[in-house]
Amino acid sequence: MKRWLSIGGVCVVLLAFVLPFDARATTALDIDGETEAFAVRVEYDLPLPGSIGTEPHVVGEIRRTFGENAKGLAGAPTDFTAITGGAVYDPWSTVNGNDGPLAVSGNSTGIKDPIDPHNGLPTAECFYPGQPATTVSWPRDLRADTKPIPPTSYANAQCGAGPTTQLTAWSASDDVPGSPTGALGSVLHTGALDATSLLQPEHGVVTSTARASAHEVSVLGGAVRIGGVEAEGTSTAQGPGGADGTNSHVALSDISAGGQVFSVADDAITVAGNTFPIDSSAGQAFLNNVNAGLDATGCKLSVLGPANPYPQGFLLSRKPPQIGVAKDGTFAASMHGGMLILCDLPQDVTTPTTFTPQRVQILVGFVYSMARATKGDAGFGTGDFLAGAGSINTPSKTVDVPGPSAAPAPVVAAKTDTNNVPQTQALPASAGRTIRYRPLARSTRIIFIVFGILLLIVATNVASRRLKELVGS
Amino acid sequence: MTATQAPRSRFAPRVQPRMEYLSSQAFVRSVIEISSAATISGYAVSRVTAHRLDPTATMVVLIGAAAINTLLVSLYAFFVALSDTVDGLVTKDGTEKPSPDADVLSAGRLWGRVLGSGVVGGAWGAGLTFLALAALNRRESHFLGLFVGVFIAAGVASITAGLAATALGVRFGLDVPKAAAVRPSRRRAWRDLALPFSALFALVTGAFTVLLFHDYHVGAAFSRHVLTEKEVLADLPIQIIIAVAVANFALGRAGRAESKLGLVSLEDPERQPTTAVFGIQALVAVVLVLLFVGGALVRFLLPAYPTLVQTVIARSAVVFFAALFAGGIAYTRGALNAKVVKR
Repeated sequence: MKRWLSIGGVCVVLLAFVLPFDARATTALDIDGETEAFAVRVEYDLPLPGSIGTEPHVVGEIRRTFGENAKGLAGAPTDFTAITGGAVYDPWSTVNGNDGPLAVSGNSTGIKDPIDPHNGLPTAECFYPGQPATTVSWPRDLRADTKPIPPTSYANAQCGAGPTTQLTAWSASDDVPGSPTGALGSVLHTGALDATSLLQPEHGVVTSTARASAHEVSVLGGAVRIGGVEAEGTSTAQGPGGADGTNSHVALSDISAGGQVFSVADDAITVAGNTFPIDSSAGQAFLNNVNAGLDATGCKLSVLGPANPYPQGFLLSRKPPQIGVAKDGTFAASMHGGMLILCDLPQDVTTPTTFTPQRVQILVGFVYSMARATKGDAGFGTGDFLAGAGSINTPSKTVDVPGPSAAPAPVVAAKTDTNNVPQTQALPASAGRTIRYRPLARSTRIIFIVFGILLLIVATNVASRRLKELVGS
Repeated sequence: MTATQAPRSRFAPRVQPRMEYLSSQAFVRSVIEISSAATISGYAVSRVTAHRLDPTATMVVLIGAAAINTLLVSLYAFFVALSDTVDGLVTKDGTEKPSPDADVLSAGRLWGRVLGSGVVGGAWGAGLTFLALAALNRRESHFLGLFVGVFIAAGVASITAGLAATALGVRFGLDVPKAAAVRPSRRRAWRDLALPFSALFALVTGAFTVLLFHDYHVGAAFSRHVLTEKEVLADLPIQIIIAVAVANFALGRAGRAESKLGLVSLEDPERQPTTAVFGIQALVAVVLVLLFVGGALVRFLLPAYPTLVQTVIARSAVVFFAALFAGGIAYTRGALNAKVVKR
């Protein structure tokens, strides 16, 4: 009886140790979160699209599977684009190239430039683990000689454990003289711009939020004026059996175009106290009137909405995402666009610049957010001892993410009216994705177990000898 | 039928046979280790944003807790047992063995024993950690898993080391070997005991600091967990008080026991009077000086946004000096007061 009680006691102790570590008993979920938002994106047709910039811009991402990582980018503006990048990266490339002594007519003078010709980029980036936080103050951080200049824009990116990504971008104006987007002045003027984003799991819910805003937007010297732009989106996912949800919207207030003054919010147009849906006949008729009034300026505008196809080139800084809400609480994502303005540029605007774009398209207000919480790979559980070693390496896990068909998102903009720019690039509906995990290799696990048992035997032997000597039987 | 004892009388020190004393000490140590494991695990997971520790952090916590707990326990368990035995609270019961003719109180043997216990404890924790890593299979651990792991790794190692140290202290107290040497009180207090003890306590504080702040953001101004001077020194008074209290508890008992056994000599009897019992005024002074002078100095030297290494150094330094001063004073006070009582 005593022996069986002892064996039972040992079993209870072993179970108490093993069960809490049991992979199948854990409640940890694999999580993902993504966000992107900007207030204004300007692209020129040269005829190849070469973007002048996106401002302010936040792009965030968090992941947790077997480990955690977070990354984020905040730019005011971002340095993604060819023209901005060219101007900032290589300011004197025609004179002396990127490095080395000054050159005159291609001949090296042997004289080193008095200041470092390399520019700091107007973008703050963070990675976790790795680079937890970055702050860029512009143009103070452009070069050593610009340090005394008061900042006109600011970007901060922080990534941390959790995982968490927090982003902030702010700019006094898009066309500050001397700034990388100074050339925009003749095409686009804005007042203060700012964008923020926060991605983190909190109290068991993956939350991704992003927001961007701009004030006093003016296109082509006032052909189109927008008093305020607010783009905001949030997605949450609690995991299997839990809740999930997403919302995104872009509000444009005090729009003055084609002799009309109106606002756009919640997919509806408000004019002189009357509100009607954008895709209604009244809404389309109103937009036709606005575009007719804009004919003299060479501009046309269309209102976007919570749709997944957008007439941009590359809209997101990532591959086309899934949009929709899963019924089981594991996934939610949405994106929303504001207004697209397409203008044929008059000669007097393009002449003063060193390039002569023929057309410019401006996307005002965009937000995308995604949250996912799925049950992770089963890993190695207590039952695997009984099932045999073959089940240690779980081969793979398939996460079926609902595509647009699972939760159809309405395409708001009208399909036939001339006020709409042709929607040339629809994002394809995606099939489910397969994500593969790599648990510990079987040999590694065996080495761990053998090494652990050896250490325990040695330590127990030393301790028991010592105890026996000191305490006695 | 026995009358029900009041808790005070039940837990009051009483004379016990050796084996019963060892059993009671093991029981008390088990209770302490359960709460200690809960505290360590709670701090470890609470400081991570998602309350999950990755396998590497789990490994560091398990091995570190086992090694450091064992180091501390094997030191003060020895002196507590020695003190209790010298005070007559432990009696022979026929199970004890005679002491070998070796001076187990010499600084080399004492600290060698402590370090040896720490190494064995660390090996035990490491062995268990490797098994845990194999079971975790790259998964993160949560509070319950960590608590059980810390208790089995650190708790079992500490209980075992504590039992061994207690048995050694009892044996030495019951049968003082001839090789036990008389040592001058100042050298014994400051060089042999207080200095290594304070280094050990600084190590404990450093490890605890890493546990507390490992997930804080360094150099960031906009975040929830930011390592700032104010944050890292917020609990300075508590740290100092704990260091002084533990030093007084362990080394005060050491001084009293060794003095009662006649193993302490006074180098300067005129300045080391044994005519009256010394109070705790000097220890209170240590707390106040460390708090107002030491704390101000650390605040002056520490940058507003310190790194984790700077934080560990700052907090460990304060605790080092608190334990050093308090340990030396406590040993001397215990030794002198024991001589007063003897009269």
